[in-house]
Amino acid sequence: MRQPTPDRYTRSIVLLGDFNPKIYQPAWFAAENLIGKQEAEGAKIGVIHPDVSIFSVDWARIEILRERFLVETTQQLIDKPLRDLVLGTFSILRHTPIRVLGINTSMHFRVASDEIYHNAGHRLAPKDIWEGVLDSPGLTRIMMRESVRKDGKRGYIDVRIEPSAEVMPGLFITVNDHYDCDASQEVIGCDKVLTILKDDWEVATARAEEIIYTLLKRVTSGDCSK
Amino acid sequence: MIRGLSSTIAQDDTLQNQLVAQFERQYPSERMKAFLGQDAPKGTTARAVDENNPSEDRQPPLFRVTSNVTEQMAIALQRWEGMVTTIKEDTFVARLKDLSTDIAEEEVEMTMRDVSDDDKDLVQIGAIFYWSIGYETTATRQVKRTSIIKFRRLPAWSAHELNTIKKRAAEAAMAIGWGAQDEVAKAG
Repeated sequence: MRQPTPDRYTRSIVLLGDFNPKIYQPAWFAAENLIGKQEAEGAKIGVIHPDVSIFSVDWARIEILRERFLVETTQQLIDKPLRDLVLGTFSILRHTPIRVLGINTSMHFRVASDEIYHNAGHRLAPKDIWEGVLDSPGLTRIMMRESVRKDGKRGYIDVRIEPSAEVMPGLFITVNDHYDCDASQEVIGCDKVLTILKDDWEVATARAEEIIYTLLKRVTSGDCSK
Repeated sequence: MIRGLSSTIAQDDTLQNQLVAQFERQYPSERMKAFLGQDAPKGTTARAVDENNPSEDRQPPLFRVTSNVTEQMAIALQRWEGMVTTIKEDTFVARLKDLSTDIAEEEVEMTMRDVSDDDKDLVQIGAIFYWSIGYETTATRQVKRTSIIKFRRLPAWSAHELNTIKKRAAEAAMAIGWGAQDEVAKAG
């Protein structure tokens, strides 16, 4: 069965560790054959600085701070290349200390009516408990955490639902698949991160989409505008 | 601190200078500090959560405007992963696996014209590529059907990786009784 089409889609990979932002320039990625030469030449530079490096190519945005490396795409067509970009980068820079990996999937969905939109809030947070406390309570955000991962890895899965700020009336659902690769501050490489990305990417991304579509269907009773 | 960083960033770049000035007017310093991760002690739980999924809570106020990624969106209808098996003059033959179903691999012939100039050098026998069809929403909110072929870009195997692979292969061979003890010793 075809799933509802999101109005907005973002997938990102976030790494927390110790990075040298100045390395990560389009020319470096092209020299290492991680992106094409024409892509590098056409990259839109936000800033290249010792503390922050931000640029985008036509299918991804890359943002590196000293403690955080982020790549994201709004193009679902370019799903695995996003992963490959990270795999390639840290196969080369494999001594980069990385402690945490996040695989994040976010979608905005327009719903067919205000009624469905409000009912979604009522289903997620029934309002009877608020009776006499607030006159007109409305849900602004709900987050649930799977504290113990079923795959046995350290970390958690956070799921957040809130009104969409992009489409009205609409819902925003995001899944943060968080892997703690090494809790200590003395980690000296990124083999664990690379292994997870290689071995778990498809499971993680499929799981995120399954969570999002299941919740969307449940809170809207299958009534989505698309 | 923020102003010092901003002024360094902006040097020799008029556009960047204008952007920095624009966002310094538009956003309070607390928000810029939040984006740069200077607003909370390291290691707190709340901060860790936000850092790991900064998509909504920490809208980077300073530079996101320079990105075109957020303006374009493409939703996949179908995705395949392929491997090049034969290369001809203007076409190549590949084995395709549909990533959304369990349908067996199929062989297709694809035209080189569908491969971007950047990726043409990557078309070699054994090369892996991703092919997706879907809908693209352009910056002007036009929706059009689109097809993208993107070849896999991974660096060559490093000596470390090759050694690891050889070691694992030798261990596997030994485990199934192919008598590869010598190989294990060599790879060790």
